[in-house]
This record gives sequence, structure tokens and C-alpha cells, in this order.
Amino acid sequence: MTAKLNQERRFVLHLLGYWDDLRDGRDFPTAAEIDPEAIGAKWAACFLLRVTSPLEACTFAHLGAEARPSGLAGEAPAVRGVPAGTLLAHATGHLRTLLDKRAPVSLAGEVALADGPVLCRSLLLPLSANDRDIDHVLGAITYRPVAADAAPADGSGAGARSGPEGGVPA
Amino acid sequence: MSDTVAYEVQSHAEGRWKIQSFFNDRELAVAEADRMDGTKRYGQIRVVEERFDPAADSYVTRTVYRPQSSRPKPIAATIQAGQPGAGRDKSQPLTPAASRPQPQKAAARSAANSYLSLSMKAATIFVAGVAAIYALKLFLPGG
Repeated sequence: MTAKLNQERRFVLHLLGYWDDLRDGRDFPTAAEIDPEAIGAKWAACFLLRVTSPLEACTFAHLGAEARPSGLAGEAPAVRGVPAGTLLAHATGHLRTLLDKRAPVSLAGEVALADGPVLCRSLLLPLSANDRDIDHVLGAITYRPVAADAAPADGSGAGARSGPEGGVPA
Repeated sequence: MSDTVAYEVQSHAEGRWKIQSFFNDRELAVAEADRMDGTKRYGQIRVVEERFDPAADSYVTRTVYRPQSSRPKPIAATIQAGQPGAGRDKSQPLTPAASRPQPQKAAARSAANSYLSLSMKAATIFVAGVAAIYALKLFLPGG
């Protein structure tokens, strides 16, 4: 298991732990309880979605710089405006699964970026103001090169990329 | 990562299992189960694997992991106070059942010991009485 893989898992577990602490016995915490300062530097790899129907019409209340696809300037679009083949598209593609499971969803998948394929892991965390209807989703994106197992663990490999398509290198 | 395998972390409460999180990485699911277990907020926790079986055209599920505190307890640890063996010196090995005294046999042996003791006392009193009468006849004037 590589250091990059461990970093990726720690990132996911850290956010899951934060979300779990916030809900404090409830099924879901509220969007208002999300504190960017508590999440720290990883907030830049996060996004906050307002859930609407249809899901393609969901809009971003927050889109961190590292989660924002390159070339996407200005106000964040609705989910339907996210360019296909980006890390953000991969992450928002699992919204239906989250709503079906009504629980945090963390799924990995290969995404072909301009400078090579990466293994993208997204984390989607359900939020609700009334502890019943999921009205927001806190998301996070992390990624590593597909060949990370063979790459050096000091960040000098492809994992040191600056995130041209959004996401925080694991 | 295969789309045909997924892992649910579930917790048990109010008589049913509830999905707590969903992954397609087994190691991450196991790590999350351990993290949840460490919070002490949950009862039993398990990781359930869902694997698509093309032949059956359905998902096959099985439990693939339970954190330490959610595993079945060993039989020796389930002996409760008040049961045979409770309160014994734990440093001593358990006595094999065949060599342990049985309650009914012990009661019978106790009763036999009581009858023997009473008989001995009666015989002693009888011998002492006879000896006293003999002594009186021997030493009293005109005996």
C-alpha cells in the first residue's frame, strides 16, 4: 500500500469523522453546521451542493479551487454544466447513489485527464435541515495517478500535479 | 476497482441493520468500520460485501468484517456470576466434570456421616452407663 493511497484514505476518513461528529446521534447534520475552518486546507478540495430536482439542476453553494475544473471560470454552474470527463463530473455522478443509500458514499473510478489517467475518489456526505430530507451534499475529491503504486512516495511523481481538472492530489 | 463489488458499513440498532456508509474499496470500508467502532456511539458494526453474480443476475451479499467489539464473545467469557464456576479461583484450572462432586452424592454422604456420629455417641453413653452401674454395685456397702 503506497503512501499516496494511505493519504487518500486518511482524507476520506477525516471528513467522515468530522461529519459523524457533527450529526451527534442524528441521521444527518445540517449544511449550516459545516465549518470551513474546521475542515481546514482540505476545504479547497470540497464542494457544497444544494439538492434540487432534477439532480442535474443542483447548484453549488461552494466550489473549492481544487475541486473546480480548469477552464471553468466565474460563478459555479449547476451540475448539468460540469464538463464531462472531469473529477467534479465523476464526483457528482454518484449523487443518485447517495440519495438511494441515504448515507455517505465514497466511490473511486478512473478518470482520463489531459496528462494521463488518474484514480479519482469522491466522498459525498448527506446533509439535512430537518434530519429527514437531504437538502445539501458536502462533497470532496481526491485523486492519485493510476500508476501510483509504482510512483515514489515523496510527491515527485505524477501525484504532484497541481490539479488541472480539479481535486486534491492524494 | 470493480463496479460489481461494493461494501456497505452497517450498524445494528433497534433490531435492524442500517447502512452507515457505502464504498467500493474494501480497505476503506474496514477502516471506517474501525473508526466507527472507536467512537463507541454504535452497537454492533459490520462490513457487508455486495458482489454481482452474472449467472444469477443478482447481487450476493456476505459479511466480510466485524470490528473487534462486534465479534461473538468466546464461550468461556459468557459464564456469568451465579453460574457454576463463578467465584472460583481463576488461577486454578477448571476441574473436569467427571471428577467434580455431584450434589446428590454429596448430600447422601453427609447424611451417612451424621448417622455414624450419632451411633458412636449412643454407644459411648451406653457403655458409660453400664460401667457406672457396675461400679456402684462393686463399691456400695451391701452391693
